[in-house]
Amino acid sequence: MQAILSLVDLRKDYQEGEIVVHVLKGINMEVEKGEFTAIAGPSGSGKTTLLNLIGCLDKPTSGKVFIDGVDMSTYSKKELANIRREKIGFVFQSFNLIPILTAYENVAFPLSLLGKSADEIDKKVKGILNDVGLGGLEHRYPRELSGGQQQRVAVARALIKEPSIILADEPTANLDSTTGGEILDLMKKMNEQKEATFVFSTHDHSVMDRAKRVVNLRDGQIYSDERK
Amino acid sequence: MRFIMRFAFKNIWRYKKRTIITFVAISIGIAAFVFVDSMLKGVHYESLRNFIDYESGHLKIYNREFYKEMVDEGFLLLDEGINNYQEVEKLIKTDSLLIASRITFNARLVNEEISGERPFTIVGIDPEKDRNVYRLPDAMLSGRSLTSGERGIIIGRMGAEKMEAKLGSTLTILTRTRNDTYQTISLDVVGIIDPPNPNVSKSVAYIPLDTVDVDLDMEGSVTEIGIRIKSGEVDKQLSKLNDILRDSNLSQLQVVSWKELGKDWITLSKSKTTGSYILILMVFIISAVGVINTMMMSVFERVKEIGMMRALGMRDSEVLWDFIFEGAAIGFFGALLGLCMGFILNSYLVYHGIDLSYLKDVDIGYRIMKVAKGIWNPGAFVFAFIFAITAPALISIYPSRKAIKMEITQALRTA
Repeated sequence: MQAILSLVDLRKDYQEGEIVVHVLKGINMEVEKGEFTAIAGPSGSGKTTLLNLIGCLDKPTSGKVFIDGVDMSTYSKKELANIRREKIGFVFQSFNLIPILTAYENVAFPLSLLGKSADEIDKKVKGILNDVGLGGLEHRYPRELSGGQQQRVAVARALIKEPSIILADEPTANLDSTTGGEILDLMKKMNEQKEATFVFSTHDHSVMDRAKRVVNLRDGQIYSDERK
Repeated sequence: MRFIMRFAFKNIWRYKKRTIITFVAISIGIAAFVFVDSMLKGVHYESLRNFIDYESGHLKIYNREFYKEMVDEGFLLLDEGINNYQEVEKLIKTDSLLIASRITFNARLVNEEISGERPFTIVGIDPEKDRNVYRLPDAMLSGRSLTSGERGIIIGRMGAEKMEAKLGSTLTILTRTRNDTYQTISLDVVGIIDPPNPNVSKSVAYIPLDTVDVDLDMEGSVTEIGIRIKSGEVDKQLSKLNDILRDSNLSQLQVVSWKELGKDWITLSKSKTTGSYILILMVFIISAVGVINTMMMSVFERVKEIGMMRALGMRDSEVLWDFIFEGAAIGFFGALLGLCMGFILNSYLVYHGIDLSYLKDVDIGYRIMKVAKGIWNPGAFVFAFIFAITAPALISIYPSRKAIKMEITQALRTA
């Protein structure tokens, strides 16, 4: 099976004053379609930096990121925005919904950016909101939803455009363990039902237990890579 | 782009109170601009009208020497008048021109009943013809118009008050004749006028032309021929009349338009207008500061959200357009409100005006008195509307550019 994501000797350094901090020290890995992968590791191990590089939010110091076989290092800022728009879905730790938009409008946002028709948007948004268990709450604003419900909206927003890969940075960190578990179950359900490829970061063992593959990072390097 | 516009429209209502305050700031600026522009233009045009109606007419014919001395030194040389003025009147007469000759001279006016004397400009007028060119009868406050040959005088209200003159009072003119001999002329006040032109009201008095002719030894000459144009353009008539005078060997005479005669005070009036516009600019700046504040806060409070939207694939140009549309939308609604307010205020100004009578005799530098009225100036409305939309739109570019220059990862880390 062709890899949706390939990382080749990926390195990222940060300059802090006169000191160069090597955050990622040569990451090599591949993610295939439909995988449900957790990037695990303690704080400072480089999980978020790795997700940022995969999500084309940041550029590596060296090494390459291939998405659907295309080398992202050759792309301009605008082209990377287009890649994110079409191929990558994001779920953030703190939900990051747009407060002036309803749940429906938040989920519709990526499709609106893609210029989809109102009919197509309506059909897809209603469908996905039902899938994530928010049917009937379409017209609520984020402030009118619980943390768990907000994260469900965020998952729906990431899934709506059927991206190649969905990246989730500590998606359960701001939720209690029960709700966090529900979100993970939802993501897993979507992974199985829609064959959506998830890569998410976590340092929570209960979250790791739900992953089909756990990549452990230590000091910017892959320490272990286990498939269940 | 339509999606971005809809999104921008939703965004302006994110902080309702702040947006409303900004609307109000813009609308006050717009309304103030429309109002002040209307008043300034209204006062200026009214001043021009009062200058033409009570002082200059549209055109005047002078002896070149008389005009030069009047302009350069302020002297009115009676011996440099127009000797054959009736022939000149016949020569230039057409259906499109109304003509009235005058003798204007400087004098000191004395009211025997009080001590002291005051400088006045005395104008000898032909009571029948003068009303064709000037509007003195319209300003009659009390008494009656002059009749030819009488020893009567009409005086402006403010001048009369200063001279403590009433109808029937006897005033004495102290002056020199055309031959430079001293002359005193005693006349009874037959009328008091209250013209809307303070210059005339304050220091001009009128007596019959034939009385002046006799008492100042004018021997049938006048100092000026005033012309009101019934139809046609002033500049064209001026050039045409100059041609007629030149072709008739009357090149010692020259035709001068009201624009030339009033150029000093018109320049002064324009500089006052500029000063007033600077004040309005200050109001605009205050409004602009409100808009800048709103847009800056709007952008900087949403740095994380902007980062998130860019992460979802929103292009930098789309973020920029979002804020430009937000600025333009705030300006649009502010302009609508401002123009409505401006329309209401301006309607009052145009139809009622601002009563200046409380200023009494204070000279405000314009040739108006009593009521300052505005005019309808569609150009000001259009300008204000366009400015109100484009200025906030342009202002919003700076903070939004700053926000999109920030790395997405950094934006996402902000609180």
